[in-house]
Amino acid sequence: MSEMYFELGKFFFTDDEHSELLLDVRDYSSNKSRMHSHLVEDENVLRPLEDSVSRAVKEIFSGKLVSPGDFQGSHVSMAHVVTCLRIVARLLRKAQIHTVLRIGQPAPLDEPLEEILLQFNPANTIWRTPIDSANFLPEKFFDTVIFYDAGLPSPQVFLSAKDGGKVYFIAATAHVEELLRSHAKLFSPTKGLALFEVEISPQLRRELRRRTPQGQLEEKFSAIAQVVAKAPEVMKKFRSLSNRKKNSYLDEYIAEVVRAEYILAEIFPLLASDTIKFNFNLLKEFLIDLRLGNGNVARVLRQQEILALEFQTT
Amino acid sequence: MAQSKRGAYLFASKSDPADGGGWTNQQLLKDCGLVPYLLHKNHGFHSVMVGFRCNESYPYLERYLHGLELDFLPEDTLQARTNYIDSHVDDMDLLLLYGASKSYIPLVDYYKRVRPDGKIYLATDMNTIWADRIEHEESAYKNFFHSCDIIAASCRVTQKYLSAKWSVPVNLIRNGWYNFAGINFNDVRKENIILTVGRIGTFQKKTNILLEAFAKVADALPDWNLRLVGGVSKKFIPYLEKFFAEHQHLSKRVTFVGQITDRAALMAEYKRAKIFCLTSSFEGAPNVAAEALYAGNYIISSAVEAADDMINDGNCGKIFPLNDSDALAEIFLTVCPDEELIRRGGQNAATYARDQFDANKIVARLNYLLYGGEAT
Repeated sequence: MSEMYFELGKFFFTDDEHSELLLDVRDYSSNKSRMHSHLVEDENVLRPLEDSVSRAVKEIFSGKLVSPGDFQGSHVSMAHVVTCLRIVARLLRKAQIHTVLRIGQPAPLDEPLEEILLQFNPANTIWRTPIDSANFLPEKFFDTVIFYDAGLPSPQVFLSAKDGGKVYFIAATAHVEELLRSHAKLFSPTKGLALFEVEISPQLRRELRRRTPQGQLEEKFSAIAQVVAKAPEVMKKFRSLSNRKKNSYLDEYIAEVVRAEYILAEIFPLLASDTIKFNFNLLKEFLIDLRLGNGNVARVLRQQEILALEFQTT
Repeated sequence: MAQSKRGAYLFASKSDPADGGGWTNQQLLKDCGLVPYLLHKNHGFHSVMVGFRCNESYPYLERYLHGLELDFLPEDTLQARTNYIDSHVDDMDLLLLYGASKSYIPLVDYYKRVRPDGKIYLATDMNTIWADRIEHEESAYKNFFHSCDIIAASCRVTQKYLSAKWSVPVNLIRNGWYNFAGINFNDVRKENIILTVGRIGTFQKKTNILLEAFAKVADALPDWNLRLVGGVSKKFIPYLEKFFAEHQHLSKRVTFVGQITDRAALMAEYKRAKIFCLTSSFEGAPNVAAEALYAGNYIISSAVEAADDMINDGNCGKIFPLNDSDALAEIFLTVCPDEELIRRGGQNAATYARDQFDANKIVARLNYLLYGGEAT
């Protein structure tokens, strides 16, 4: 196993014998670059690409496209440069890319990447959008997503791929949790870094959705609705308890309602209802009245029905 | 009585009694005094009202509010307030605030720093118009609201409004009534009296609407009389002179009782009257509502925000449009001759009052909101 390193900002990576395309850059500090590309797969397909990639990387490292200072201390960016080009090469080999939707702010690699795409297949179309936030990505839209940045993509990036679609990103392996690693193939693992290919299954989609702002909102809302839905069962049990146990039993449920009320207040601005918070407070009020001997179960249940309906329609 | 003694301190937000600042002797028997008093009496709190000396003496304190303490700040400054907190910090488990005043914001910040475990209750004491003046989106106000453990409005309309507007839970804590004078309600004997209680003739109270409406129906309701309890505004005197010059025949049927400070004597007026009438152009949640309901009055109110609360959605009263003496007169003509309506409405009022305006129950609920099951 050959060992190569590039030291800039204390970054260190090695290849292994399974890598498909590896770029090794040495002696950057002396402003000389020696490129070596090592192809382990179909060289007849990839060799024409090699020159383009090498040229692009050369131009980057010579300061033509970006200055060396851009990479100072940014070791992930270095791998990002290499890996993004590698991804493109693999995808082009599979001839699956016809249209590229480039979302986000312009980046130094745009030009060489686009040049590669168009050289390899002039029919490729590149669309740029001004969207600069993963929050606006459509769900289940793309066949392939390349996360064109360093680090772990947000849940919305993964969700923008179709079921069965692929998401590529490079990140420190220690930062990628078990959930994603269990659904991922790793390429070119280096010391701490790897290129991840994650296939989006329905199961993974469900898990990731829970982590989006919308998913978190839905989860919180659903949890509060469950507290409300419990009220008839709580009242039934309350009626059956001895006087000695009634109070402490109701105290527990009221405490749950109070906790839910604070969460409801937190998410209230995102809900399409002006009255749900007020109606929830009424339920709490009637429960406390019952607890203090001033109310009745019927009033609690009537309010629960009103509130449950409001939760269904919100 | 509660198990352990907690300290509850109600701070006045400002010193000017003309601006609602406190404390005056009169305020002690309203909700701002009633809450700390009943926290002490019923729940074992050491309760203190911290404010400014607005009266030479406070006879209500000694006569009705045994155990409630008054402490006076030397000046209306933040420093004076924080100095006070410093010297009472160990006892100050609960901070009570009356009104969402901006002057409370630095006070709450300070209190939270020195008593992070302490609780804060904010009685908003406002209607929706006043609420719209609060810069609730400003971060200072947002932090202030989030620092308060319990925030309360005193009527449903305001509660609903604030619930939709502010990003915090808003509870209902009504202005309740407490039987300071041990009044007996079994001896109620109703007469054909329409009663109003309040500061007679002020811009807010719109007493002229009541007088004009009564004048319109007086001939059709010869058995009915009007009684007005409360001090009369000097600015109202010229109007009264003109009114009685035009309606001389009403001088014996309209009685200005004057201000009544004795609780039993005041409730005696309510107990005599069949109808209580409020003509205000704006209100928060008027204290007279609870008094009138307890006495079993049929309530006729202008459409102030607390009106629906006062009439219990029509079970014990009617509402007329603001400033509309014709509409009020129409209601008098409908209600006054209907003995059964008045009797039933009055009974509903009395029941409703004991369910929703009993200050003991209201403060017990507040105590539970603050301390949960450990409060009881």
